[in-house]
Amino acid sequence: MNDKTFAIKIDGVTKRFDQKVAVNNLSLTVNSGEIFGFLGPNGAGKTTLVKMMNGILTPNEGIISIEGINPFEKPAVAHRYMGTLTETANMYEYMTGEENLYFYGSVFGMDKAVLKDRIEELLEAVDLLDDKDKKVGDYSTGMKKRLALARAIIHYPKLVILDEPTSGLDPENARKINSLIKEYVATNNATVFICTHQLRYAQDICDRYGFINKGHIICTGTLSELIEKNSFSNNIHLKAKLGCPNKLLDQFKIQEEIYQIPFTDEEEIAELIKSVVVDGGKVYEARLKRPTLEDVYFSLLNEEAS
Amino acid sequence: MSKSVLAIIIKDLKYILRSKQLIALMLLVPLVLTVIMPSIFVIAISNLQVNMEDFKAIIEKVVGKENVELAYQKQLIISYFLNNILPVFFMLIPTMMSTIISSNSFIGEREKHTLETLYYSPIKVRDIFIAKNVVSICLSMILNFAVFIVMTVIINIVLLAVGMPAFIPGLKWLIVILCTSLAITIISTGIVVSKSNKSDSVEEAQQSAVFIILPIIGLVVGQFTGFIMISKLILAIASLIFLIISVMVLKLLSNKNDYYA
Ligand SMILES: Nc1ncnc2c1ncn2[C@@H]1O[C@H](COP(=O)(O)OP(=O)(O)O)[C@@H](O)[C@H]1O
Ligand SMILES: [Mg+2]
Repeated sequence: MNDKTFAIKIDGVTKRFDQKVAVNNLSLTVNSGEIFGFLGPNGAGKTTLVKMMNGILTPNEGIISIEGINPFEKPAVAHRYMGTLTETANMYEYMTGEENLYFYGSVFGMDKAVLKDRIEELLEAVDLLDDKDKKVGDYSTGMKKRLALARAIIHYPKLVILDEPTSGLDPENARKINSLIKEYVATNNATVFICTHQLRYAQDICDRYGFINKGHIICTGTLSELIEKNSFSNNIHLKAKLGCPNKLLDQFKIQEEIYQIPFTDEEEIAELIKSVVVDGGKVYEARLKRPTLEDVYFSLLNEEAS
Repeated sequence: MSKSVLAIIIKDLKYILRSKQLIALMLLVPLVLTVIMPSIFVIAISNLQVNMEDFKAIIEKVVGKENVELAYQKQLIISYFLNNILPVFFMLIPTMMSTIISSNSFIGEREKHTLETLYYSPIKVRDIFIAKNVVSICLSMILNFAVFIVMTVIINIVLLAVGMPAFIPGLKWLIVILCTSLAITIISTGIVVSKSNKSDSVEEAQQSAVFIILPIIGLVVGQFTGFIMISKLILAIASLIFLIISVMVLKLLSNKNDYYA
């Protein structure tokens, strides 16, 4: 039993709803202290997995361990160590933001005195101090999400599970959520598991990724590992007027005077530019283009489909 | 009782006591049934000038006396109504109240998706179930008792006004208010709360309370026609057995630990 080195260990988990297989023989580990991005299209099975990690849904097969605890056997114990935010878990609309936090804090067994300071601190962090006495029913989507995040981390969980924390938010609110998550991880040495289909926001904060499609994992790793594993190459984006025809460049022409050339060694770039100039051409722009998370994601997903 | 359970109980009590409409709704029917209706009944009977041959047969069955004079007849009818028919209403009232409270506090949370948030906290489903039941049972019993007090006061004022002897609730009342009502509250709450796991809406869960209301209505009809005469002893024993059964049923229901996700 060395599961404790992992914040999350999922082993061969399958979940069926009647005929539909939502999660299919899925295995995954998340290390302590990392921000893990769990990425996949709608209906891939992300939320189903989150509910199983909380012990709210029971898998048909497989084992899940959260900080060494089996969430199906001891959900109430596991929940002490984890804070979960999902799209469908609401707070009480007839209560104010502060009252809500106070209630959930008490449900987590926190002392009144501790709770008071903690709520103050959280409201300030999520930028809701001025709206703390407003009813949650009158909150905007962004405010509700921020309050929900405050709720999820009120008890200083070691593991934070966030299911679509930025969905439906404008860029500013999404950024706010992301910086809050980062800050929490930095100050509490926590692990974060983020489910999302918004790749840009994921790339901003995640250390490692897992791609899921149709209930199974396609690939896991850090961005550079993913790039390497799938032999994606870096590209040089070149805007140049050639002095004479160049066989190599013509091969990678994507537009008039625009070329995108894959390379592995930076020396190749220097050689290339030199050859263009020596041949009497002009280089207007040379830019390094690394594959983004988006490039990797879509290429892997397309590969799946074919 | 754990802190978490207590927090949920306090939150639910605050919510229900805060919604004046809900409280008004819960108190309206009981007050009509046990205060206004009996008052009208007392006044009507006391002003009646004819012999009531049909009722006499019932009264004779109860008190075993023949040839009673009119004024005494009236007293007997009123006392019969107050002591044999009114108590049955106090079995109906907690059923209604606990149904409203438990369906609001449990299914309401499910429909508004706040139950899911509770599921993510370190509290067992069983404890949520217990908290919901405690709220419903306690509040129903308190409201039931409040209605009983109001009823006793008003009816005595009315009786005094028409010159009839005062109404002093006896042992039968004590059994009904403390034991029978409690048993009925427990069982109807338990049924509604656990039913809320399967049914889709507040209405559907409330309908399940019909299984409890029907036999009680049978009892009301029985009392009116003099068909069923319940003695204090039988009432006490039956209520006690009922109470034990209801607690056992509740225990059984609370052992189901499934999340209703
Ligand atoms: N309670 C349920 N009953 C039946 N099918 C479900 C249920 N929950 C989810 N599903 C199905 O399982 C699949 C995965 O859903 P979900 O986990 O919500 O995906 P994601 O969160 O990645 O968008 C979907 O096809 C969805 O329709
Ligand atoms: Mg989802």
